[in-house]
Amino acid sequence: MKELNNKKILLVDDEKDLLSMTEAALQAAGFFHIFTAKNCEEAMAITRTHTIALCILDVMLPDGDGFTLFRKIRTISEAPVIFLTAKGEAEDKIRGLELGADDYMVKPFLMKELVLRVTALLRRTYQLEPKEEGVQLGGHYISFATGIVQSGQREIRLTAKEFILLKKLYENKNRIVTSDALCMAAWGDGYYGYENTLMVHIRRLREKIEEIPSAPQHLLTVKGLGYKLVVTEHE
Amino acid sequence: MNKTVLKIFVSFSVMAALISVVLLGINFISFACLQSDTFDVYDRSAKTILSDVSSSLYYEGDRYLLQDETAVPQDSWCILIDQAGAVIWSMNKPEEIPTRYSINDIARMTRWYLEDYPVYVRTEEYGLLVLGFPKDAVGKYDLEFTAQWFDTLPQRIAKIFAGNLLLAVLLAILFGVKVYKRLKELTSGMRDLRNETPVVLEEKGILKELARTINDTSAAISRKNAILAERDSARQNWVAGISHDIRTPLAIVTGNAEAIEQTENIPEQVKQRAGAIVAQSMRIKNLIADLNLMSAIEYDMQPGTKQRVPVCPFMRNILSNIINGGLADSVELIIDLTDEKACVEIDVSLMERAIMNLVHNCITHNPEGCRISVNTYRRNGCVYIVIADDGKGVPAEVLETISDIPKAAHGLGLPMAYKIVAAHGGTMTAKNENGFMVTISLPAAF
Repeated sequence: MKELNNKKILLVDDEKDLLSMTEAALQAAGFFHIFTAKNCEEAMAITRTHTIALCILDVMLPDGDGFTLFRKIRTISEAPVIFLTAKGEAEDKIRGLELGADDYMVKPFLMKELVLRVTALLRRTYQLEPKEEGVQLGGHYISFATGIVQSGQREIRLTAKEFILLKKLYENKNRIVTSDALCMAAWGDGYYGYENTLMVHIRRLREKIEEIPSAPQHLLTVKGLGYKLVVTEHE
Repeated sequence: MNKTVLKIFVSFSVMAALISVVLLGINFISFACLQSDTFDVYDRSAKTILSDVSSSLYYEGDRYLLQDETAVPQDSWCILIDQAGAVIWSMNKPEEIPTRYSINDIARMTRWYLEDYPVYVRTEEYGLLVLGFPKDAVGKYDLEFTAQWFDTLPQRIAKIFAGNLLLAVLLAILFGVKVYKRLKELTSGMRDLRNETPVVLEEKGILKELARTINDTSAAISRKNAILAERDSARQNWVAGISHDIRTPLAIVTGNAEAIEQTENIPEQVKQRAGAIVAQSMRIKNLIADLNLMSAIEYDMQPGTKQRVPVCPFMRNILSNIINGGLADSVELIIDLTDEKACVEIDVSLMERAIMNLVHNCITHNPEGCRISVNTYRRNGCVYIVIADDGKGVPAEVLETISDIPKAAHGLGLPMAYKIVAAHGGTMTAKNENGFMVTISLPAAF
């Protein structure tokens, strides 16, 4: 966490109040290397002199737009970017993401959410993700490092596809993952026609991680939609 | 459209041919009825004058006298030639008219002219009466035909008639084709006019006025559309501009309220109030987004980025998101999506919004819970999405005004869904049937 909070963040917005408020919110979240700029010029000056880890850019700036600034920053820095916009038009969003922006937020946004996104983006970019060792499902422990299911003394290895499916379900734990999303994760874009194969893989997966595969407690079917991996926190 | 033009062309040609034939007939008959107009020179014909002279002439002593001097009109003259060729009586006789005639002279002049005077003769027992009209008063020509000519006359008349008829029809068709082409141009112009595409027709020929009117109308429509488009885009830009201007201060309000909410060591009541400000600000944010969306749909009527999407995965994704977002236990979703191959051309985020609105509409209208069935199928080149609940249904006025944008932001869900579906070239029908039921039909993409 300390490493994360050490990262230098550049905040560009022409609205003074918003700038100080956002800065305060990030400081409250533990970030202490925060640079603020009111226009493109100041932003470029900061980027040149500091190793910025993440940029938060307003789309509308007095001396140019955020997209142009983003392209300029890209020439000297690979820092991930979150765009803030008051426009909210779909085109702006698409344009920003097409340029390679990592995220996009429409004003007004919740500071909580901004902090969450900043943290997630930093973790993802700088590989600071807390390593998920594995998950305990009932009497089974699944190790993500080895892809082995440990049930008491017995060890069962997951196949590559089973591992991908379980990982995908775990990333969205306690939420429905559509069969389409699962197929996409396992077989890529041309996943059509794999629905039956998916059912076979899910059945095998249940045999490995469920006490009673015919009455699953963790890997549940959501009729008509997909599957859900139920993980209770205390486990 | 072309059939209409063809009809006009045919009736026009027939009409033209008919008129020609009728005219031909009238001319033919009048020609046949044509009479000599020489009686127009005087009030009587030459024949009558001669007969009058004859009856008025009497012999007294050794010479002839005219009882009624007016029998011979003023500027004409009359002579009487006896059997020997001598003029034995004359009236108004010009100088150059000889007083003696040989048989040859008589033969030469009887039917024609005497010294350029048109003459008419009448034979009497006592001689030849010759009536002379003024020079150049009458033209004479001779018509002679063989007896055979008269025998074959009916056939020839029929032939000439038929020939003329053919010519008339040919001319009518020739002329008709020209008009036909022109009419075709004009009708295509009218079609363009209806589709409001600019029309510029050549202004010539007999339909020049019509072409000009169409051109003028087209220009007027274009002008009006330009004004409307300008006004619409101005309104949309205004909405977008206002939204932008509201969002920034709202962000500051939200951020500060959020900061207060998270401040430690302040009364719980203050925190709650700050929380309420945040929640309401977020509501305003959603309203602004809706306002923008509605104004964009209303004035553009064209979804931005359409892509080909299979319906079933699209629906599964939305429904999963709705369930993942948290659904009351009293709400049950019954999902039956058929035809995995069915695809539609849609702007995914817009259509997602429409479906979300419809499902949330079911939920909010039935606070004590309901079963919502979602169903897709393909039939006759259309993809159907049916969303129905078993709740209490919606008031009749909501169904009636489903295509109208409400005056308040409240109740925007259904009209917005309606507009989005319409913008995709689809239809949305809503009715109360054991609850509330909405059927969306979209053209299937292949």
